[in-house]
Amino acid sequence: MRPPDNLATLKGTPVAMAIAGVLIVPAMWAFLLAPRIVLAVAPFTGLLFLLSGVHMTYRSRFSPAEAMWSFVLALIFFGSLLVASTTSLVWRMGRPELHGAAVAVAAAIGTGGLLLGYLAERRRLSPSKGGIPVALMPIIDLEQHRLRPLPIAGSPPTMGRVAFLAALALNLPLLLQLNGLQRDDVLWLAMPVLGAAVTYVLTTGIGPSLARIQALRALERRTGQRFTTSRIEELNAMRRGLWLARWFCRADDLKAAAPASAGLKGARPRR
Amino acid sequence: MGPEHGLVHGEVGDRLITFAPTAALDAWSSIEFDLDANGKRQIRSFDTNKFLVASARNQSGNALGLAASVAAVPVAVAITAGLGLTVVGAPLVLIGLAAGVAVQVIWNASGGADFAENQARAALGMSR
Repeated sequence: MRPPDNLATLKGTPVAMAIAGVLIVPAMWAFLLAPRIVLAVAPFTGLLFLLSGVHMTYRSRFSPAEAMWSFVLALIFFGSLLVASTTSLVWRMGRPELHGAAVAVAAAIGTGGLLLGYLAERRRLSPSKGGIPVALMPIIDLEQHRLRPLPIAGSPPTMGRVAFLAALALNLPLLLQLNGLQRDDVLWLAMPVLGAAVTYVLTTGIGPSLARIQALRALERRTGQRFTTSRIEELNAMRRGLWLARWFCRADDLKAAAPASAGLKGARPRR
Repeated sequence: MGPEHGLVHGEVGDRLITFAPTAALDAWSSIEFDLDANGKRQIRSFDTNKFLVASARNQSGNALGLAASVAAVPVAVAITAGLGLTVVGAPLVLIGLAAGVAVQVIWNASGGADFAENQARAALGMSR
């Protein structure tokens, strides 16, 4: 429901999503499941994430209905990370009989965090004026059925910083090995941090967003109108400059605003 | 808190930091020494094939881990953007780092490193 502030970052989304689906999500389950199961699942999650990424870059209107789909993806992605954060420790201990307990702990932490955030946000949304939750008024434009972005909370970390820190972190196993521990002991350091970070995101971000999506969808049902993001024109202008736009974008997105933006920089005429 | 100067800056620097420490160790273990009359070590030769095989074994995990770390962050940003959020800052970076470490560990543990080593040996025409 909130396109990235810098729309150009959407260009790389399909690739990143495909890597996540093929590599990251299956790898997180490898501590628990047999390799052949993980390898069998990887193409399916890869395709799922790739298609979701393509949809987001080329077709999405960032509506509440699409947000529900993002919620499912969030459950898969962050849920896999949470499962890995507990099962990897059991795996490192070499105690396979504890795998059930590890999954149960991950599920309990995950649902607990989500529920907590969801219930808190629901309470925040309950005071309403004219059927619209007061807390959502700043982002709703009822006349045009648009959703303005929520007030900004900060800027996303730059790729360079992430790559730099990752480069450092990946040498931790080597460091541990040189100091008499084993390579895999890095899990004792990294996995509790991962579990804590994911739980924080689930509680403060994803749980509350579910409550907001529900409220917006209730409003959609009442007014009979779908919401789209308020930045849809900008988004479509960006899409017209994309390479594969002709094949992936909705036809009316490509032409609808074309006369208005004919003079805009970067807008290329098509046919 | 990113680096500001020199080789540690930018993409080259990230690759250098990821791969260089492992490369140094692999190079060290690929050097063959002779003891001279005074008992001092003299470098006899550098075993290039051994270095290449060790690199294939050890760097493959580093490369996959870096790919996972760098991909995890935009994915988390995109998914949460779909939900109408901007999740930013420390939690996101930590998630990216830990995902990379987990991928690296699972690659090495599940025989990925052995696989890379065998591929390198086959490519170099070396026997096991």
